[in-house]
Amino acid sequence: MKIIGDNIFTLSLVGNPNVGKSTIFNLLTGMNQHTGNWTGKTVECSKGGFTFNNDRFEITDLPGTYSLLSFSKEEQVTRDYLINSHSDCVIIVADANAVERNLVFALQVLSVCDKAVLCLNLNDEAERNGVIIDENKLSEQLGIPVVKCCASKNRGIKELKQTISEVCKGETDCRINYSLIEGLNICDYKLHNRNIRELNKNASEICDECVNKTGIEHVNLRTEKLDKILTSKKYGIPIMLLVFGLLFWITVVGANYPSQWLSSLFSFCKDRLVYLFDIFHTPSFVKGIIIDGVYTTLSWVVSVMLPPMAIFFPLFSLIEDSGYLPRIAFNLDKFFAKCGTHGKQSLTMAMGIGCNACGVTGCRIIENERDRNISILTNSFMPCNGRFPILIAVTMSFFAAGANKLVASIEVALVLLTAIVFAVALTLLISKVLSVTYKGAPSGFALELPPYRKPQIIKSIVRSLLDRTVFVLGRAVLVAAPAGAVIWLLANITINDVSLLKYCTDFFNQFGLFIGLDGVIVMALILGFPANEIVIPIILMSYLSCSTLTDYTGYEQLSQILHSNGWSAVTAVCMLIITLLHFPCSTTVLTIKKETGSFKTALLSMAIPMALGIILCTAVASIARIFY
Amino acid sequence: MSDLSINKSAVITEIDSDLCIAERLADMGFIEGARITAAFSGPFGDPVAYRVNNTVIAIRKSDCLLIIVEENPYEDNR
Repeated sequence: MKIIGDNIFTLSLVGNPNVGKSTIFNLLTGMNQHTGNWTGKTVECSKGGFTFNNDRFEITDLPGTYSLLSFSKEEQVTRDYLINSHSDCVIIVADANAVERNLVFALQVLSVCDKAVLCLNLNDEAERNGVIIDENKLSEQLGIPVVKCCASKNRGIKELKQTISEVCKGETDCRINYSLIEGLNICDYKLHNRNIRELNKNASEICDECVNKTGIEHVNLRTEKLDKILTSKKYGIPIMLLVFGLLFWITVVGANYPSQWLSSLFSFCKDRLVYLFDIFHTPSFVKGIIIDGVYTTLSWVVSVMLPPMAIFFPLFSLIEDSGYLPRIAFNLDKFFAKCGTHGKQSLTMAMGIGCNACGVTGCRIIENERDRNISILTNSFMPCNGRFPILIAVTMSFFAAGANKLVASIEVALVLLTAIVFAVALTLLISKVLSVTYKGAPSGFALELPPYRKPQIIKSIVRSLLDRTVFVLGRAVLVAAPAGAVIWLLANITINDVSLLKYCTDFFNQFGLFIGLDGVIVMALILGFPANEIVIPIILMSYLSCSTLTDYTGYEQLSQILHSNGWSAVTAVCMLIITLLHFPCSTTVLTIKKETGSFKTALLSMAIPMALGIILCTAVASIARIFY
Repeated sequence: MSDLSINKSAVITEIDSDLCIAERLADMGFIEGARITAAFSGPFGDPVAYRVNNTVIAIRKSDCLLIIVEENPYEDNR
């Protein structure tokens, strides 16, 4: 290859899970690349690029895997990509703390590629722990350049770019002479075993040569001390509940004020808009559809949905980044084992809190098909960020009864916590039922508990705001704008002096009332199929279209509107239930179809929660009718 | 391995090929000859977290039954 500038090179990024691969990816490509990562786990390949000395480098971030030899979906993706893509350079990210296991993986990668760079991440931490790696010797042994870096402190990234550039241009030679017994044959257990044993022997030999362990042998003393508390018999579960309770409480307390600011901003803009429309003598039909339909719905969506999301998601991503989520899986695994399902299901459930479609995609981390299907079918029990604000809004309106603001906010947090615990319990119950009906053997469970790390607070917050909040809000706005127009049309086109909207809600009303809701809610849930974010705005639009349209001024006003339209505490409880339990959004259903390749599973994923929701709501409503 | 008490270490001598996650565990460092230590257990006593190669891996007891270990066979040589 000629050594001139302005070349385009392709790179692949590989590594074990939990080695900071995505952090390296973000540092290489800059903050403007959104990986769309939901739980610190790359499931889909994400792409990005950077320019260095006039050359362009395109990176593909591959899913983190422990090996290329086994047969889980993500390993297949990585293996096929490495073999078929012929990257100019493969960047192998390794955790310097666990260098031996990471080398086993690195050797596998080296057996399928010609050019590579080993990036020893978390080197600072390793050196503090007394693991000193001689990178020159290691480089000699592996036949590829080795770069030490510390991604969290942005150290070594420049050197990494320089090295990658040199390797791509052929200025630095790679002399890889590593191969496996009969290549990457994956079907044969015995062969796999021999390969692994050989690989481990080689890795251990290389380690003896290049790694100087001066400290004590087990390095993560601090993590283990924490784990002994956070997973203990006495404190494990209470601390977990406390963490989530606190998370909800902060969200509830924090969401109220920005919500009010946003709505006053929107009503200010609305006045100006009306003024503008009047100047140009816009027909009242156009004015109505744009201002009362599209604009009002949009402002409702933004002021009701944005504040809780903008507080909840950054906080949740801090918990993720600290490494606490695998501990939750660890704490709860006993229950999942009892229900005959996979321990990693709790991780996919946590992803579901972000977004059910992502949770469903995340189920790829479960190797066993039967367990994966169960996880996929039950994922929508977890309230995604489209439905979470519904829960918050309804709870704020009905269960924040105390005169004391502090007491009221704690009440709301407790109700939300109860809703989540209820959702988890239901997931377990349905998983148990499904595990009996689905054929196939349950798979085991092996979960790495990575060391706790101090999250990079500012980066996490910015990233989750950009990636999640904006993404979800964008989706909501896209759906809300046309939905607002449709609702306005329905409310304003009349047949025999009765609006179409009234016909629709009346059609569902009897059924709605029977299950403790009303026709408007049922219709809103159906119209909310593309995105649940618009359910609350549709409900309000429908109620308000009959009377004069007011602007949103906060949860108190929301409470007033709902009360004046016949909502009781029973309606609120049923609303909470049906929010947790109805068909997942269209994106999720499509993702399920794509992931399982089964139309039946996709239909089941809609039918199961819907049936449960209707049954439970009817039960609650019937019991309430007896007492009142 | 399921009988190994917390804070005790041992060396894996045999892994039953009936173990359905044997491959995954091998990728994570659980191979014959590997030294493992039981680090801590979950709130309900199961699963148990084991230390291997400077990493911590949690495994269910039912899977541990199929891994045979020998407690400190090299104790004297240390």
